[in-house]
Amino acid sequence: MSRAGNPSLDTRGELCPQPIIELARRVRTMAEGAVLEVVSDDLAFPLDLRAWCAGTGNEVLDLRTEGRIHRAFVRRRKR
Amino acid sequence: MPQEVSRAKAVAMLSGGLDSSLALALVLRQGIEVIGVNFSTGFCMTDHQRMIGRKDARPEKLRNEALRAGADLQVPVEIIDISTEYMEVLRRPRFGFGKNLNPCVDCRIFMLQKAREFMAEVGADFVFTGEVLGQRPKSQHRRAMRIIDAECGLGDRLVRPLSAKLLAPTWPEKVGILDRDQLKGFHGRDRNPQIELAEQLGVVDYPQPAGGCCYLTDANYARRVFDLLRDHDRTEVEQEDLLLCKVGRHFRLPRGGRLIVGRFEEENLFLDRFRSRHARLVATAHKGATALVSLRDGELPEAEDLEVAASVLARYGKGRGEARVVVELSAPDHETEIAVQPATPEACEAWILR
Ligand code: SF4
Repeated sequence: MSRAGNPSLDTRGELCPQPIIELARRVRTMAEGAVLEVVSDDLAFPLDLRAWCAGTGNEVLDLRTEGRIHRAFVRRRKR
Repeated sequence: MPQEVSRAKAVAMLSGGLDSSLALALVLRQGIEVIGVNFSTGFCMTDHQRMIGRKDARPEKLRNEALRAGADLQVPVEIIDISTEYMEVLRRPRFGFGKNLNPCVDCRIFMLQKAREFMAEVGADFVFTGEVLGQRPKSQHRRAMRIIDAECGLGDRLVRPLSAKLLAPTWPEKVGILDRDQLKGFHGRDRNPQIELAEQLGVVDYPQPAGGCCYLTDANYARRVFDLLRDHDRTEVEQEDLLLCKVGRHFRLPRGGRLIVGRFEEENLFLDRFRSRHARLVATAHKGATALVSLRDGELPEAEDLEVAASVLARYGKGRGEARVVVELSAPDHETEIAVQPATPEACEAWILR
């Protein structure tokens, strides 16, 4: 669980393209409208995350980068 | 009451290059629902650059192009990791290699088989690709395409929208899901028809230059792997060995040992992860590269090779002008220090693998 009480997924140390693969897998198991916090240290993760969301219709609620760590909140789309 | 006819659904094999983006745009224009699929073989150069994670790398150069292409046309893209199974394709390609280590015909067959499974999983009606007849020497000739079609099991559920008019009508064309007239008859290596079509369809963002993302087509990489195969049976080579062939400078030592020397900080850190099957070398008092020497059946290579390895490593550090440099060697059951004179550029040249 993240600090805000959302489920979280820590992909730090995972090599590309695993972070997006794992994110997709997790989001599929979530209820519509549920929020997942995801953390990655993959360089191009912010770009891939936004692209993946634009294609799948899921929503990036927040995305911040501190040093090499990216932290995002993603909401599963409602049909 | 008339029953509602469901919208046709297709799977796009998407690399994110110009051709697969155009094929996607052509199919979408016909009102078909599309899910993109992108297979990760473990040999994508961009993925590797991300893995190494150079501080000065530009993220926009390293983005996943398949996801980007899907985003541009609002198509969901599924990335599927096939890297473990792909090792089998590489170990025993039934249709051989291309110019380098690229088993393109087997690779296409395997990916299309995977796409067929995915098509069944998501309940799609057909699969399409961005292939252009005659564009690539190994896998896109009519004869190679015939083999690929026969082996992949998709039959007439496989569509190549960019060359469709030159090929036999496929199932979606026969039943009227796809209008053949709106598909193309591109052939050969001339890219101008694709560039014109991209303008017409408003496909503006695609990687330049096209393709070139597969390590297996890289001559330098292939040389390293073929050299590795001098010591190992093809069936013994592991993913890790192939991964290491992408990193650093490679040397073949006088007694047959293998040495990899990192070229920059991130490569040195990367090499540090592979200590279980290698001995690691670093200079104790001089900043510089990290190196790995391969162990043979868990044993260190011969002393002469270790000396040469240490002297080559010393050459790629701040101690290169010194008379002696102390190099620490650590292996799973062994730690020692070797004092050496740094190798001359000519000596390095003699051992390096080009
Ligand atoms: S270039 Fe690489 S990815 Fe493309 S078909 Fe050949 S082996 Fe497969």
